[in-house]
Amino acid sequence: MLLTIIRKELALHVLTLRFQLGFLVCVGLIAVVAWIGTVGYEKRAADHRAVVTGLDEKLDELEVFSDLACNTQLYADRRPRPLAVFSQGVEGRLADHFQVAHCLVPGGLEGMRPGDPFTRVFSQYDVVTLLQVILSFLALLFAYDAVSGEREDGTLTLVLSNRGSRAQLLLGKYLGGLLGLAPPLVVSFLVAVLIMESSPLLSLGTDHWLRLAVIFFLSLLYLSLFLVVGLLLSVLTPRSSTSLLWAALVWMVFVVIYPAAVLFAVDQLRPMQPLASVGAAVEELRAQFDREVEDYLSAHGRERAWEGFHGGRSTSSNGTGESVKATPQMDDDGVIKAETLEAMAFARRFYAFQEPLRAEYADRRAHLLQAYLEDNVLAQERLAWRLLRLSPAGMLAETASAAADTDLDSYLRFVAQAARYRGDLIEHLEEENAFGSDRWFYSPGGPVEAHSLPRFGERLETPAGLLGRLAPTIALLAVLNGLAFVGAVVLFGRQPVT
Amino acid sequence: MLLTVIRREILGHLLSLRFGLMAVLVLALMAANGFLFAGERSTLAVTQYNENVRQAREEIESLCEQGLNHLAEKGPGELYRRPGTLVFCVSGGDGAMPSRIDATSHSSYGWRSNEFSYSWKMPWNLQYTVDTPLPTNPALPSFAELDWSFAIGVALSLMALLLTYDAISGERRDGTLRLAMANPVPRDLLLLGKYLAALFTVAGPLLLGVVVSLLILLAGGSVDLAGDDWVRLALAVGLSLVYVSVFAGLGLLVSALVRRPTTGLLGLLLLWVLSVELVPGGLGVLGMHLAEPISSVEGARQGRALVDGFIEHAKQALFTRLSPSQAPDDEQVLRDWADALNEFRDGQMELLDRTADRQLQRVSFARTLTRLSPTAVYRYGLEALAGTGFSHYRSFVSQARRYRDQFHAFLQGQDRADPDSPHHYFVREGVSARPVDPRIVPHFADRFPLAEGLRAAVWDIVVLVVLAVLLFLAAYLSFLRCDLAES
Repeated sequence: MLLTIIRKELALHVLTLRFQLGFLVCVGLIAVVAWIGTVGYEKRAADHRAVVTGLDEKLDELEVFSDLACNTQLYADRRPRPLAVFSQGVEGRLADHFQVAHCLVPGGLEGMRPGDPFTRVFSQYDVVTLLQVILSFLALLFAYDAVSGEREDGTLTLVLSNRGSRAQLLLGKYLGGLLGLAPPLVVSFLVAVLIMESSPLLSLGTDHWLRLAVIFFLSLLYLSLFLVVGLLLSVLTPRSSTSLLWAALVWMVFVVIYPAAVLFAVDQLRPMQPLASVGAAVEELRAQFDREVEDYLSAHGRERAWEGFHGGRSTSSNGTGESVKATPQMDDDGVIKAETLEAMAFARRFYAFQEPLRAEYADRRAHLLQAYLEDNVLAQERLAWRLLRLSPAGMLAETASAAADTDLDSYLRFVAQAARYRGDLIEHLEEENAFGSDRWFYSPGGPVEAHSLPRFGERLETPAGLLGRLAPTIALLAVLNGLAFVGAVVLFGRQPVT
Repeated sequence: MLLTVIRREILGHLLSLRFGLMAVLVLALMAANGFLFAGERSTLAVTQYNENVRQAREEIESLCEQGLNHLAEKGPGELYRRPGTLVFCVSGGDGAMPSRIDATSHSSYGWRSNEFSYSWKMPWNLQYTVDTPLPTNPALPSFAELDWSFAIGVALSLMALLLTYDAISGERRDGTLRLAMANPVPRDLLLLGKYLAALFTVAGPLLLGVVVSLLILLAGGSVDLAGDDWVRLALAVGLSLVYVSVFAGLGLLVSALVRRPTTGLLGLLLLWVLSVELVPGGLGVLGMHLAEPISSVEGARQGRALVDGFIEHAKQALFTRLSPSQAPDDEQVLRDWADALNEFRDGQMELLDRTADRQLQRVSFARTLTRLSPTAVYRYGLEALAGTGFSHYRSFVSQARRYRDQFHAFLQGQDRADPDSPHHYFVREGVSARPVDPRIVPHFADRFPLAEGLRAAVWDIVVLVVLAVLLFLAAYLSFLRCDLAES
């Protein structure tokens, strides 16, 4: 009996114009969006590769260790995520490349520069957003007249005079609808994956397939919820035109209006504060650092760190780091003069003092910026997602970006790893006694040994960790599905047939 | 007779569930609009703008005291875009558009050798920054803003569809259509009556919503409306009515064409989703993607190449001779310097302006694509009328360019008036060193007058009006030809 209902419902859906139109619109748009997303990924992947291969050459020419502070900075580069095509998250919005040095803490505001202002005017589409908009609409259209329509046409009495129970009828209609939604969903995924795979720069590994499966499952749960809500509406309302009205309203409120309203309200009621206050504190820190350095120099009876030899220096753009290269004064035989040797001995002590201090000040500066980020960017973002979770569309967007490994949490994990990498770098430099040696500022010819320096490698989240993170939302979606279905069955059971 | 039809229809609408639900939704959106735009953020943008403009003025005044040559060398400073007053009506991404154009010389260069020493500033030009007026959160997804154009574009358009989708097909199904036509009322009057009734019914929540939103905003005290703004708002409401009538006409057309009202509504809902959500979003993304601008990296590289080339040229051709500060009387040295600086400035100007134009063209292209959707046309028209968003930014850019020419003309005029000056414009030593009266210096003030907005909006308005009329005519024609009885 159940099978008959399912078969009938499925045939009914697939033959309708709404289904065919929805299918075409969905797949066409998804092909376009997947193509744009793939091109974007290719660009990011090429950038990533260029950075990774470029560093070795630069390290070959590292003349002094202090070059690491400014001229040849090491970096932490976030691997681009191919599944951003499905759910963009913060991918491409926040910086994925950080310079790392003892005087430079990765993360902070460097990553927070807004991109091209003009693209922000248009909404950003990825595959999941499109599915979320189009197929949820289609799901409601499948289900809205399941009961009210049959009652209107008088076929409901006919159907119920068969052997199947009312619950069975609803279940059949639900499964039929779900099967009807499957073709557009599956074809959309296939089209998107085919377009991604056609790119030579993009290849999907096992991990990605697993994550894709999670995204597919989440989309299915989400669509099923709309289907069940449609059934519920069709039970609740006496006429199919009324159920359609409610369905359109539910869709508009939960998919279009509520997400936009939440994001806008968060931005308006909890606006980001200007950076000026932090800027002043950062400036003050820099002055304090300069004072400590001056105190050290005057305590040692010197005016400058370099007395007795010349050289070049360059300062990093934000003024926190400095590369220095000394040219000692030689006598006619090519031997370094005695007073220069004495000055170099002082410079060793000086840098052994100054550079760890620099690292400490960099930490303090990073703390200030981190506090600003916490209070503004991150607090705003978290509040927005907490509120968005009240709409199924928000739930899907949040979990899909987590599954695509492009959400803010994933990004923050990357930043934390980059910060740990800086710790490793400092530890390495201290072990090598780089700060306190001649090689910090003096090159007797030939590059320093830089290939033993630690390199950044990003560790990705394991699928188990991902599932643990997603479990509550998946459970919630499932419970909502169940509740709405049971509600529909109970209400339907109490109703007269005509 | 027409009045009877309209009265009957309006009564029917007002008592219907769909009207009640949609009216509540629209009013809730408009009230939320009032509360949200009365929030801290809107005031912050205005305060910031005023403070910035004041600082820019002080900067010019202090340069005036130092002398005309300093003013010529340093430039007029930062040019700020005034944040839109009517963002609550239509924002158009006003908060995401760049807030300033930098017309200051920032970098100085120097060259020193045993017999030669000179330092100079790079000539100022219009640098198109991407700074937003207030810090924006890059981690938040971009989103629709809850302005009037959202409430009207999304919710009110649906309301117009819901009120008209069964105007004819519903009556035909119920059999009342023949009854209605049995009265001495011609078909066109009946259709016109239904059309007007739907429009009047939709106009109710629209006007009420506008009043509610304005009351909240004005009570909040954060919005200050001038006489000009009221005209703009009135025009915006007018355009909104035209927009809504497009959907009313569409609803009528479909209701005359189809047998079953539900079939008609399904088709209409699909068109509506396309118009309010999928076409503006999808084609916008596609358009921005198809028209790639010069990338910022590439732009920066070309800019640097230009600067490097100039410095090299300066070293080779100019520094081998005398520096202007050592030989201020040497006409030839000054002339060569002036020529070199002006040539560099023109080259840089061309590059910067071209890059900015490409960017603007790219957005215009994407917007043209999205104009397939009436909702997008409506938003763009509204934006130009209200003087916010991209329309305003484009005008801001051309204003800044006009101001640049005006400022150059002013500087050269002042220089000519000084008989002691060698008249080699742009070289510090070649321009009059007299102090300037700050009152006669032209100041930049960003204005987007209503007339300009109307000019920018005219095509969007025409398209909407034509569409509304065409749809009504099409509905009329198909109603004339349709069967009255249910088959």
